[in-house]
Amino acid sequence: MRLCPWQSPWNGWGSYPIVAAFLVPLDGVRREEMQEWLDMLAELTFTGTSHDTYFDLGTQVIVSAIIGGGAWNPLRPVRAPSPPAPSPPSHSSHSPPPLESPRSWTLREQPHLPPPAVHSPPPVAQPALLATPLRVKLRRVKVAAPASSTPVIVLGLASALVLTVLYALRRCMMRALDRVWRCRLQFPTTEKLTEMPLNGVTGEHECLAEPDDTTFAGLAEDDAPRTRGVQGSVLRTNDLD
Amino acid sequence: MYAAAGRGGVRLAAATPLFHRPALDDHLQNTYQPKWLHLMMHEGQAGYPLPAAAQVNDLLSALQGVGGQAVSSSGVNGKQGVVSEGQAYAMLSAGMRNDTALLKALTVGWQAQVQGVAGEHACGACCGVGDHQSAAQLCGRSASSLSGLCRRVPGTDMPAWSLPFQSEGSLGSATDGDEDAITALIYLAELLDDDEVRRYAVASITAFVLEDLGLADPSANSRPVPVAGDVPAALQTIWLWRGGSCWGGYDRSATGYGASDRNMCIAPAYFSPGQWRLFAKYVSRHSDLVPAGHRAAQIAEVLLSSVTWGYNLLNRISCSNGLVSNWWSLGEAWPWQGKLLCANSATRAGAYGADAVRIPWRVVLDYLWFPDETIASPLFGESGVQIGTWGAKEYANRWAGAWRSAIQQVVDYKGEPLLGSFPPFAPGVQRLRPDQILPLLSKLPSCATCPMGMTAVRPLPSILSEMCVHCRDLIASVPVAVTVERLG
Repeated sequence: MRLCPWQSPWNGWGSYPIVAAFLVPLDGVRREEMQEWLDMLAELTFTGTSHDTYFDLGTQVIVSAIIGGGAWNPLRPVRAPSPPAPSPPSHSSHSPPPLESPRSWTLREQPHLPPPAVHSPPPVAQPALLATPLRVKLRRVKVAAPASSTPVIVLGLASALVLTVLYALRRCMMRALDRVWRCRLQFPTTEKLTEMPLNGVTGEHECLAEPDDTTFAGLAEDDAPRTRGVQGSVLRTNDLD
Repeated sequence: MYAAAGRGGVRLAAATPLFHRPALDDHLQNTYQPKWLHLMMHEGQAGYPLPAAAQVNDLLSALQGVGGQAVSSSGVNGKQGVVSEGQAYAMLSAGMRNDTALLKALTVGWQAQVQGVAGEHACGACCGVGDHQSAAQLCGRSASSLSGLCRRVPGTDMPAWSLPFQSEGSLGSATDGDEDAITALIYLAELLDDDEVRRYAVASITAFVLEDLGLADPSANSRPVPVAGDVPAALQTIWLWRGGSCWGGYDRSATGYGASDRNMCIAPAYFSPGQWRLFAKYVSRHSDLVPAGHRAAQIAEVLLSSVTWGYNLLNRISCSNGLVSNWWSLGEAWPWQGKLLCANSATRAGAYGADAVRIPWRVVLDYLWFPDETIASPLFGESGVQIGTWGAKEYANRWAGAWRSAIQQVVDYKGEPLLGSFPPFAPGVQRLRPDQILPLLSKLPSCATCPMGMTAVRPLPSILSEMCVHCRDLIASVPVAVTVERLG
């Protein structure tokens, strides 16, 4: 390899490997701050000057794969997870990876299957990490199976989706059924359901009320129906006054 | 590009690290990978420097019908050559990305490198005998008439560091490239779930330990601990690593010109504890695949001794900020009781340069893969007493702590710290720029074992780097007076 006698202040092979050191927890530094350090340094160094030689590019492809999360341990291949059990929808489809102990994300000698999540509380999202531009690498969770098992997987995923939607809309359905019973209101159609705005607190779909139905006597404020504004904005009835 | 299915048709997935930067994966896919693929030479195309797949004697069944690929070591427009280091980078990268198709093609190239010359047995790891025959002619000789630690395992070997053979100087393996490639062979075996590839991977690990760590000649390549103390029996023989099959480590058999650069000489950045732990566990798991005449337990013991004493050495010869010399001449008693003397590959002893730069990510792999083991790595004092533990976390923390501290000390024109412009960030505060952060690496304090400090990142005006880019091709055509030829 030919090296120039002078190098860029941020040439590829000089600084990139050092960023890998920020993959390791640093005593006294909070995890979310450590992630910020990694994000900052990775962004700055990986935009540095690159010479298209095997040495520069070799360092870049290796280190970026490691920092990008690609260095899997071949001793214990991780199988693709089973379709998720029905659970309440999270706040965001781009939630960060759950924070675990520093040792838990490596592959163990013996695989430890996680306990069933049915009775356990959902993972708590960390606000500090939600603010960082993290993305779950869904495409690394590879689900490839023999053709014979494909219908089973598809059926499982579809079932999980249906159950998740039903769980999310349980309150709406109960109220709607109640209204049908009491007020003979027409139950919303499927098209209307898909247009329902999300509740910013719980992530659940808001119940759809008739546009002119702005008051409901006898209901507490939190349970009072809300009118649906343009493109999903939610206005409380009081805001209309 | 995450293409192929793994064992049982279930694709293999990466374990998500505690800290990682997914955006870099996109950068890899969209920026680096296209350039990287541009360096690939394909079998059948003009100038492909390796034997064709059909001429590789021990080609794996899983690779039958696959055309070989090799990484050009001389740039896109340079002459067609390949070094094991570049080929191994490509293999390791392909394995990490689960790109089985590319990994298979590169492994064909690797097996062709191992063989070296079409129609002959592997001879790349053998060393010149000084009779000025061409390397190709040397390959026709019997193993007994060749020098060096080579041809120790039937069906595989370590390759020459450079191909095609230009002279005897092309011969001899390189430990850094070999360990990366073997890791990739393990990736391939598990991606394909193929026992023949596993057998080849285990045989390659065996050859690596024999030739690159020196088990083929124990008396030349290991030392008993000067003081046993409470050092466990399995660690009372110090194994380290060689530069390759022809020289380095504790070996002091080189004579004549350049002998002081070869004998008792190691490259600290060839130390790859995560990969070596992986090899030890893999051989132990597949002990039935170990070639006849060798024992899995012995191979694993050598590997783990190298890991332990490598950390003990690194603890002493790296600065408190992580800087470590490109080269180190070992001491006769404890390995850290050595000096800055030897130098190879056109990099200097006492400087953190092109050879040393690989050590951060190699050590970090140990933490990513084996955190429990590396945290427990014993640190021994010179009386043989264990004085603590010291492994990947501690070494990585040296780097991260020093760089973070340097950034925290950046001040504005008033001499006030730029709080909020680095983590923890404050809203509304402008973040630091690359030119405020990256040159700080060059200002990391040197120490007695690395007195020239950081030479891999230089705080020169960016215009010089632009000049460097534009004149690269011109420089490449000018003789050695202007350029630096990296030998391996």
